[in-house]
Amino acid sequence: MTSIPKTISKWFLITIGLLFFTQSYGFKNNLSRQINGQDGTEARIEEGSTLFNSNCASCHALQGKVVGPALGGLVDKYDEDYEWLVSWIKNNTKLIAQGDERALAIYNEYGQQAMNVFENLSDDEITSILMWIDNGGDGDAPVAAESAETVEPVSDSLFNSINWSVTVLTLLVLAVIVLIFGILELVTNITGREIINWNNVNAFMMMIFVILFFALILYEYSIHNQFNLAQFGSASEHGVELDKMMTWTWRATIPIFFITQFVLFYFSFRYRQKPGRKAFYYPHNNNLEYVWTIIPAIVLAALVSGGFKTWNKILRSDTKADAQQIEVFAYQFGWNARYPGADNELGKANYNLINGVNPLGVANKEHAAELIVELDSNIAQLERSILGLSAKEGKLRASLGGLVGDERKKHLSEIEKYASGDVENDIRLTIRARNTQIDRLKRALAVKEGNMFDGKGDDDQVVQELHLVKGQPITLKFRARDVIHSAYLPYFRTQMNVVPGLPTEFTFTPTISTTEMRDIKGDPKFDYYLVCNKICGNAHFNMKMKVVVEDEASYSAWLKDQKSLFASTTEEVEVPAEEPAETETNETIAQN
Amino acid sequence: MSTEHADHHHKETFISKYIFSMDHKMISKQFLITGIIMGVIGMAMSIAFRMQLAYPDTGFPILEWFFGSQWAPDGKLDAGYYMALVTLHGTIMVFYVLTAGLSGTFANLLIPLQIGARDMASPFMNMLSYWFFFASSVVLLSSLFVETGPASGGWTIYPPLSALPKAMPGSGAGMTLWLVAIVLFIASSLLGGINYISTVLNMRTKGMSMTRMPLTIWALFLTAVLGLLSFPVLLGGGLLLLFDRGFGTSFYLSDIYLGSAGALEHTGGSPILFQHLFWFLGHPEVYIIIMPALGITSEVIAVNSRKPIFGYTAMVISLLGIAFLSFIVWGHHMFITGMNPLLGAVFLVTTLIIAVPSAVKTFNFLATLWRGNIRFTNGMMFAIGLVSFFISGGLTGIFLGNAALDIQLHDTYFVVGHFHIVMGCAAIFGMLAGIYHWFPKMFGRMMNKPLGYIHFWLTFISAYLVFFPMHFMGLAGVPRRYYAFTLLPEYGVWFDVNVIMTLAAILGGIAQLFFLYNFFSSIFFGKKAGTNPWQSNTLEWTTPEERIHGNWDGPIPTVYRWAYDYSKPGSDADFIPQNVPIDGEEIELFENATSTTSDGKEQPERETLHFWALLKRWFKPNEI
Repeated sequence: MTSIPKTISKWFLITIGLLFFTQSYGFKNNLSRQINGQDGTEARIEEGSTLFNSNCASCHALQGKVVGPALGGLVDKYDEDYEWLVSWIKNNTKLIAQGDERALAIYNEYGQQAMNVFENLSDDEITSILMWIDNGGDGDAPVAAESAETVEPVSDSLFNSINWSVTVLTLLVLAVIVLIFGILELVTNITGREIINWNNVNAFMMMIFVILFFALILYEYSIHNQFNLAQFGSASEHGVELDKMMTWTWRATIPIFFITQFVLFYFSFRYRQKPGRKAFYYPHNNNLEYVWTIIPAIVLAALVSGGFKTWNKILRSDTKADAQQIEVFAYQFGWNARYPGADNELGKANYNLINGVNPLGVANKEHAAELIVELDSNIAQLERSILGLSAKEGKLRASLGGLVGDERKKHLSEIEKYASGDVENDIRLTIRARNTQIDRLKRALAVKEGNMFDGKGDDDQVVQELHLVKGQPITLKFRARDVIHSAYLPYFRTQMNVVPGLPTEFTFTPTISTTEMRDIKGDPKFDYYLVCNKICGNAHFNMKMKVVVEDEASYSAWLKDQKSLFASTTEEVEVPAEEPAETETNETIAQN
Repeated sequence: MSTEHADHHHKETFISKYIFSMDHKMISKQFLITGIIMGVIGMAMSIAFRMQLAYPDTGFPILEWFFGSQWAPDGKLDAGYYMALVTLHGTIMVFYVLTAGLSGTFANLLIPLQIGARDMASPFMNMLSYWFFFASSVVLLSSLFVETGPASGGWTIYPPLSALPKAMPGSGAGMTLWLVAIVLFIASSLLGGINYISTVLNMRTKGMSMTRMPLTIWALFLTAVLGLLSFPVLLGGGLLLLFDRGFGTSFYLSDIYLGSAGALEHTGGSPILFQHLFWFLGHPEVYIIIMPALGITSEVIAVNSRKPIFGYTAMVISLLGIAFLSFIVWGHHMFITGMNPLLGAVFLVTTLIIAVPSAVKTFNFLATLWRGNIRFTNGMMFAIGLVSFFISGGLTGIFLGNAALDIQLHDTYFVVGHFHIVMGCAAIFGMLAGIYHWFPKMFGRMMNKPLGYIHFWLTFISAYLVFFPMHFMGLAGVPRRYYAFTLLPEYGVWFDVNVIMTLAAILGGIAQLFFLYNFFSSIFFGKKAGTNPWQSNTLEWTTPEERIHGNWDGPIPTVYRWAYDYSKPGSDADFIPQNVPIDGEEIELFENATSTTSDGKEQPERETLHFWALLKRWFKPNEI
């Protein structure tokens, strides 16, 4: 990558630079600084911003740990060792497997949760990201504080008046009340009669409560219902049905809520104990029981039939034939979409084919062959590392002296891992898994007919934004890489879990484009997002993909710009004439 | 006879009386106090993570001091530790407080006392049940001190996240400890459940037919049946998960590529299988939690309205209906997990049907209050609070049970609001109603009434303040289990609401301090209670003030009437205890149920349980 003279000049420049800008991080004045021997330009920084947000932002922020460390100041920290930093970003697992000490240190510091591999990023792209980081980010980087400030509070008067001092005051008042109660209790005990008629007090409190309760509900409704998704209408065709169902359910439940709550508190108030009264002995009345069994049953039957119809219409309809197929791929912690490309067919994919350059594991013969070679060398490397284990253990033991406290404990537990053979065992298991993977790949390659490597995936486009055409039905085909995720598109009333090993899908038709929704919401910055809605790890809260609904023309223009996955091979590989057997090959590879 | 009991009493050592006790009353106290401690821990955790949600950018030095700099650097909770706290909060509240703390306490206390038995069918198993529970609590809490942190995949521990230590730090040793704790917990629950069922079926006193049992016993009995049938399924599911974690099996794992481990060997498993196994327990579990609370409420409302519970038969039938239906609705937790949509449609139907018996119960509670003579004891306040929560949360259940609406609402804050109100708050209120109501029986002293009122109103108001706005968040599409709402700018509008909810949660926490003070100080300094402070009909109030092993000094009282003869016309008093004979007639429901041994001690006789005899006894017309 960087030639030696370049590296020298880089070091030289940075040393000079550091003399002047020792506190440079955070200021927008680093444009002159060279990173990786390249000059920072506005265009590069712009590119870095896009790349950062689609690749890094779910786990990293400039300030503060998210899942991975804070990246502000990264450039200063590694200014003497960009090569290492770049190789770490590209494939940190490789470094860890090689036993690189710095890599291992970071790996252990962050709970042995490895960072994703980014071999799909070129050196220049990584440099752009670093430039962006070095220049202090976007300013509206996904740091909690900043986004919090950009949002306008709902109603200042109510919410801001409640703060800590109020809480403390409340506490004091409560303490005084307790004191008063204590005194009253004492008086009651001495004089033998109750000063306060608690029964009446509580009966009136019940009545006050129910009135305030209803008032507060109405007040909150007036504020918070404006954010109710139903306010903006459904952005999908089936969502209209769903909203209708929702409205009917509201109509059925709201009156019951207000009536029963009121009756409950009113009865409590009205029939409070009074001297000389006796309760009305009324143990049962079967007719009444029938009434309040049958009426709820009828209401619920209506809701059931409505829900049944809506559910079937949404998920069990047969209108999927003309829908466009797009794959949505979920991984810790991000999303990808795969478009079928020119042949309008998604190529087959398998998790055994996943690596840095093919993050979705789309089937391609050449890639599979390369992967086998890569895995073989990986195995060789792992086997070598087993030989070096005892030396490493010795080194650890040698460096134990002088450590105290927690550090010593940590060090000892590290030694224990080597001594007990856990480390070796782990490596051997990895080797076995790699061998199995090679085995499966070879078997898949050996299948003569209906081979999964049918070339249909070569023109597939893997993107980090989901673009949809307004009015065009689409089927999202979900695939997960590691754990269960859930694709949640609230404005489209769409949600489906993304389960490893179990293909799921959801068909819908978007009806409101992004620009139209911006008008509806009165928010020119609004964008649809697909977010993760099933707990999937530490950065679960930070996992999203932008969704753009647009017209046919701009969609085609956007799609044309997207790279094909295996562009160079597209022309060379012949698409086999015979129809491939549908799922057989996939299963073969999965079940081997 | 009484002297003999007294002798027996004196022989007990400290250990056999307070630690390894086989007396059901002592075991119930052990369950209660352990449950309260776990409840305090669970609630403290919720306040800690609510502080994170309200003030995502503020460091609270107290958090760093408490959790250490690894989990709360600069006083800000770590994202993984936030998840761990959420997970443990759920686990502790669902299993340790509302299952063991609620059922364990009141089944142990009330079953023998209210049906007229000297103790449980197997006191030894009963003791084991508590100690398994205790061991389980210790194991669960010990996971807080594991290097990689406690389990953090949510209390539902869906694999593959929970199965792969490399998927998340919390899926390491912490997860193993979680599973071990749950296995111990299930053992405890099964030992208890078998005991409760056999005691209710076999050891009822003379005249106590099934149709004369107080509704508390019905609820606790059916709860035990539910637990017995559903917990073993989770045990199976958990063991398979342990195999997947430790022994390389693939029950739940298939087609996985992990960023840190590459392609895994597992193939052929299904993560959905675990969800089915989990929710086959998980849904009945919801009723295991709420049914005892409803039973307690029935009793407390009847006693304090000075009226018979309205529609006793309908109440029993709806309990039976809920118990049966709860086994065929689990799929409503899985509408959009990739389960076949046809199954979703089936579960939609069964789920909404279960709302009918729940509605019947609510209306019966209201009818019981109607024209009553309501005494606002502390217990009664909490019982009324339960009914209010049951209405609010039950109605939102109609939204979530509807598969079509669940597409939008699944895993949003709407769900969090719903189950916290209907299952969390309602069940906790049932538990507190029970504690206030039976405290005099457990400890022989009264709790302080005004403090109880403060406790009630603060808890009631703060609970609604915390959980009501969550419904609006859910309707706006805000997902649950998010560490911070920084993902989308539109979540920003909820920052203020989060602050309010957190302050309300803190207020709720403060309210519990009143309770704790009241509870523990009343044990020692409360006013003496007397035998029957609430003028109640049930048998537990006929035991002597001095609590003895064996419960009654003399023979066990015979039961002549149902438990709800309050304000009966023709009687001067507004209550007639169950052991008061009906004028002129003495009904023998079944004979030779008890016999007298040579030393004059009355013992239940082991009669063979004849199915038809049992059935006849069940349907013996109710004497009202």
